[in-house]
Amino acid sequence: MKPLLSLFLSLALLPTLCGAEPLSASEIVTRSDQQMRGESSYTELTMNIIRPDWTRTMTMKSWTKGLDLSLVLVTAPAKDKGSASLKRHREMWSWLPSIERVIKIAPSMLGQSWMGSDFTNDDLINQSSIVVDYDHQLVEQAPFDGDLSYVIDAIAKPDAPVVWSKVRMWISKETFLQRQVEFYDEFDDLINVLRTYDVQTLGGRQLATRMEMIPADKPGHKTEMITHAAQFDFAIGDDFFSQSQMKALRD
Amino acid sequence: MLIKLAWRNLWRQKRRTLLTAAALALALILSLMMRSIQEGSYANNIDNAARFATGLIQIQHPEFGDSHSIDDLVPMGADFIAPAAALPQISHRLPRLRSFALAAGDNSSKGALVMAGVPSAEQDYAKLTDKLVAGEYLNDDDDQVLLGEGLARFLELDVGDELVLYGQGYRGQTAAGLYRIKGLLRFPVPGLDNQLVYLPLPLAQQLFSTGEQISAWVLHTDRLNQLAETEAALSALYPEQSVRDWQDLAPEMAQQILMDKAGGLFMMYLLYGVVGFGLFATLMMMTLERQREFGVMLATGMLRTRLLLLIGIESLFIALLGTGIGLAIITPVLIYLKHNPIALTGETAELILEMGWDPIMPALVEPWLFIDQIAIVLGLLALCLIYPLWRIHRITLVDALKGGSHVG
Repeated sequence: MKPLLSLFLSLALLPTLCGAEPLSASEIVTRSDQQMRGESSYTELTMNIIRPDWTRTMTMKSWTKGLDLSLVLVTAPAKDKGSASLKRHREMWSWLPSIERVIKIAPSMLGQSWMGSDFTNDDLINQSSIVVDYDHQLVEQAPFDGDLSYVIDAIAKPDAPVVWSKVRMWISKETFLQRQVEFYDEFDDLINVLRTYDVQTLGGRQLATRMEMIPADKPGHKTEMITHAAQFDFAIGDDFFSQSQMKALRD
Repeated sequence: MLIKLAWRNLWRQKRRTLLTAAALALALILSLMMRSIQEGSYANNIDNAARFATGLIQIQHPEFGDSHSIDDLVPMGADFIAPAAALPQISHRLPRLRSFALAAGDNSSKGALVMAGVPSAEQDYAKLTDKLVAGEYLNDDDDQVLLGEGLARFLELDVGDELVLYGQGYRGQTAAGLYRIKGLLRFPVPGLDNQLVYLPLPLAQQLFSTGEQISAWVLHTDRLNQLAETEAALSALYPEQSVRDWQDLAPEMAQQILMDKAGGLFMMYLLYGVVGFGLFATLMMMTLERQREFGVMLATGMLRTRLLLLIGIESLFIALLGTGIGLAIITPVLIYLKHNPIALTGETAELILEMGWDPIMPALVEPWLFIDQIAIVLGLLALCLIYPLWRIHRITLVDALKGGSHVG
């Protein structure tokens, strides 16, 4: 779950840094990435899964600490209320209140859809770092959603343990938030597009509060994540991200 | 008159007649044996292997073939399937649901293929009870499940233990269930053995929140050769859905059969070639050594056309005799093999098991197969007769009377 949040956080911006001298591509990515390395975060989200003939809405709460720990609690709909996902480092568990069981998510399931959305478990848990595992190249500057952005290609380093062989990012010049991200596979085919909108200040940071994940090959499919409330950089212990805590959480 | 003459001619030279008939019989026996076992294996594989995995024909949601998604379902109601059930050639119709889920034991978890059907109907059709190696088979309203043996071993579970299934249900709903394992199934195909969780249909519909919907209606027709027309009829009845046959559903098996068939056909042409030349030599000899006899007949006023007719009738008798002998020998053998198939053992058997087939070779005893082979053998005979007949037709009387043009 954490990288999802980290994405959010990465979007959270430090607008202050716009220095005068031109930044290199790697510096831009690093600066953008630093924003997701917030000490801790708490967010309240709504996820809308949109399909051509149906739509499903879930609400959830999410806690993260650093990059390695995260916990997500589903608060609606009623059928799924109380379900939780825990990520510690490279491992992931789910708590299913309806059968009172904790399940460890097998590595083979990481490519599966997370909660039926267009995000995979791997999107949420993926440890690969856009800073460390990729080489960066500034392509151009272009506006996205009225926000002048650096367009940066990140090409996977040889042997890097990554899912995407190329990622193209639109990083806002003003906020250093990622505004659009295109994910390409090893055949250079576009697989997913992530777009962010509605930059607001929440919990003391600037944040793109609406995020869309759009699979390239499925017209009419997308998943929307809307952030309602957020807090950052509060004290939270590692023991909060535990299986017993996951079971104990109630809305 | 000619018939009587032909009949007598045959028995004047018993050995020659019997030899030719035997050559024909041998050709028929070999080709029938080969084709019948070949077709029998295919039919057996299609029937048995396909029954559980895909069935012969499925009615699916048009998107299901690509997506395999739990969202692309067809109705389970009786009024939906009634038109198909009304077709006389449909012998079975089975509602099935399949999807993927995470299967978890106490310590480990693994992606699993979840299949569901009506246990009482599947017992009759897919013979699932034969695959049961431990525990008991399901009742229709059970809240227990069956597990592939390989999967059970991986999850360190046994009969009576609890299994968690966790995945995505209909339209993004969470699917989570805790079930007791009632039995273990063993499949020769590792893909199923290491992945399968089998649920009674109502339980699966509850797990995936699908309501009265299923992934596919599996339809069966008793005769494989009615498949194409049945499929066409169904497509017309269900224009909104996708009607797919086993070749479409299990293309690997269809390709294997096609490849195997090509190899078999080559062998058969080789066989026909060898047998054909034998037959040709016999017939040729038969006409050459009778040149003098033919000469005398022509000299005493027999018309050439009548002579040719005579030879034709003789050949026909030989053909009937040959096929008669051949059938008399091969039919009991094939019927025996049909009921007591050749079972392969050792490495060959393992190889075939790995391909997901049954290591047995039952014979197929079907009228069309016999008619095919008889027609081919008779065709060969006709082909071999052309040259001898042509020789007789342009026979020179004087030479013939001397004993044949080849003599001095």
